[in-house]
Amino acid sequence: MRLSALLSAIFHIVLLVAIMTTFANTSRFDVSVPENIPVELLTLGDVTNVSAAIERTEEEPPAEEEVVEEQPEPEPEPQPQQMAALPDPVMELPPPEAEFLPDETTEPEPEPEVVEPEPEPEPEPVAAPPPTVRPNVRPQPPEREQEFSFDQAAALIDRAPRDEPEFDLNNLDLGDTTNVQTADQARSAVGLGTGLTISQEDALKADIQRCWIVPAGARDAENLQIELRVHFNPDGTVRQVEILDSIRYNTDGFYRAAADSARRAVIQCQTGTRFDGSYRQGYDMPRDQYETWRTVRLTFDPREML
Amino acid sequence: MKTLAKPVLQGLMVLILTLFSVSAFAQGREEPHIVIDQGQVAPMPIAIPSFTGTNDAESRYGRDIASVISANLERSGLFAPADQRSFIEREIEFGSAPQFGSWRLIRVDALLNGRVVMQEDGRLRVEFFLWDVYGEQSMLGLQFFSTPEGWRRVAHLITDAVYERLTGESGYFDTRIVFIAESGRATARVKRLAIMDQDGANPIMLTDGADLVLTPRFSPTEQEVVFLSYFNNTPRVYLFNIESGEQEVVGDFPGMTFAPRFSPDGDQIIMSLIEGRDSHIYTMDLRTGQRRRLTSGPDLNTAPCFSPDGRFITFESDRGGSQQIYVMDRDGGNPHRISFGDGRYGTPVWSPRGDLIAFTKIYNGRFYIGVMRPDGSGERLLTESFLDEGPTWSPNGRVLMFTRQTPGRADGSGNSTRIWSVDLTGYNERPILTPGDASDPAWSPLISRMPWAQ
Repeated sequence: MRLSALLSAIFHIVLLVAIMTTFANTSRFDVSVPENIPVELLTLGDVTNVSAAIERTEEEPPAEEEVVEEQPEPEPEPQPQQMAALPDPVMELPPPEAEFLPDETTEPEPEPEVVEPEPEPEPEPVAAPPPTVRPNVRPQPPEREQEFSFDQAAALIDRAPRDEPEFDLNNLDLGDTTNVQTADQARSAVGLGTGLTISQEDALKADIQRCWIVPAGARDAENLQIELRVHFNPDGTVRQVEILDSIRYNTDGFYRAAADSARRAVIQCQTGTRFDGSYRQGYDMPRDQYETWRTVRLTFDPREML
Repeated sequence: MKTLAKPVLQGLMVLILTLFSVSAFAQGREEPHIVIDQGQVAPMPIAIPSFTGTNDAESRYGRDIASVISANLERSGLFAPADQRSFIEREIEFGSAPQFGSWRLIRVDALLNGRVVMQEDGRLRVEFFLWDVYGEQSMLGLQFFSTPEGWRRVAHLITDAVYERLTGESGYFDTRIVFIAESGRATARVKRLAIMDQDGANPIMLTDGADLVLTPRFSPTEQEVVFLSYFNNTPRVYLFNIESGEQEVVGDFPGMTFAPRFSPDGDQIIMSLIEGRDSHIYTMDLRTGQRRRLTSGPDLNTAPCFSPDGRFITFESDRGGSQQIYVMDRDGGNPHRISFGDGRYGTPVWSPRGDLIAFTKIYNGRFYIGVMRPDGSGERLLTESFLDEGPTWSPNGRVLMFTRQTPGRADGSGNSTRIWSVDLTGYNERPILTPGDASDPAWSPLISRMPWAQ
């Protein structure tokens, strides 16, 4: 009995030591996570800035988007709003002299915004506009379609039957494909994926670049990187543009001018004409993946252009 | 205690797990980040309707002021004023927001809306708002008061304000240019000191042309010009007071002095003095008359110019065997060559920003105006012609003016000498309107920021 107890004790001790030595290093067990390499299958319709190097496919041509979409109820244009009365002259200089007029909107704004967030446009007219330069109620992006647009008219004209063959995305003569330009390395991934494909990013980028006037020749233009956060509506129109460095915006005239220019580009190019001549209202983003591009951060970097 | 510890521990673990889950979710939903690194180099479209008035006189001033502003902005190369005939909203109530949609239709980014009011005291009140058409907000609002004769200066001041708000840089429109007005045959050329607004308006001859005058330079602090005059056939540096018309010789130097220029504080004049077969750079204190030689050696040293902070001097010299640009300390120490490109370099002028030096380059029989950094790097040539020389900077360091000579016919006729301007980017090269031939331009500082304008 004593012997068996002793053997049992020894056996247990050996077992315990074995367990301790075997599992002692579990905390140092490394799990190497390979770099996330985004791989996507591209079709011609997804890509904008592409070299003539794509094989013809037998896919169905993409459904042509409606040039004139169903419009929401029109909302009246905001009425011009009365400004505060001009103050009496405060400062007089020898001729000519200057003094600042009241400019309420040039006051520091924590979030310089462009379009008030309001997903459902209210058709109610504004009864009593407050005395401010900037209207409290802005035209919602869909309303802009109510205005006459030469682009829109041109797009309608383009839809008229013509003698020329129809522009077919999938039957393009792509010419010589020997000088194919391909990326030499994969783009590094961020997080678990940004949600936008490279071609969707390129499309948005190409649209905005058409409207961005680069501050060429400005002092220290290479340091004028502007960061914006753009909030989109589900239809691809711009709901709000935030200039992220509001402190520099309010203290640095160069930055302020460049940031205004970048913001203008985002708003201005939300409407335009596609390369096939059709009119678009809002940026061409995948409508069914709205959550992935509800907000997008944009950096305007002029260094490549100087 | 043990009974309490267990649920607390469990709670903590649940909390940690929840935090991990949220963090992982947030990483997966990180907002897309796109870098826009290509854009357009194009002028900004802007609408400038005539400023409104309540009677004919006010309306006439309003029309003229808008016209001068529009011409100023267009000439800068950074703005493209829209044709007034394309405007849809014809009347904007001053002080009220315009119909932004109608201005977006004609594709302008900004709208300048102003009015002129003739006050009871006989003065003009000119006021305006600058609107961001896409941002739908007012960017700037100013009021100016002036005698009716000063309407043109009001237009220049408004241009400066608009330019500064939209580009971030100070303007250069409320400035004047001194230059040499040339007339007569090539063999009997009459050269007179003249002054005009930067847009070529209001030209005034300051000297009668009896003596040859060259290289005028504006004082940074006073209404004075320093220049070279062959009074009594002896080339000397003179100081000319624009208001009184008086002129005096600078310093009592034994030989010929030339290439004068003010120091940034306006207290000193830096220039060259011929000594035997060499020329050397001197400074002279305008208050004490004290002079100081800054260069030595058997060389030709000339065309000195201070850096805007007054710490360095750039000049041209042939000490290395050919005409090149050098930089030295303000006391003459540490001279070193900065131009190493092909050809010869001369007339260096330091930018008011301090970041560049403009120069004339001669290479293969052609003349160029260019810029380089003060260490000699980043050389860029902005113009090229049969003869371009003598650059001068706008007060904001954004535009250069220079003299361009166009060759004539074989019989000597048909040649011309004009003042041209070019933007720092090399775009927007254009002639400046002058009364006849003109050369040697020198840009004044901003008049409104001069001590005597306050």
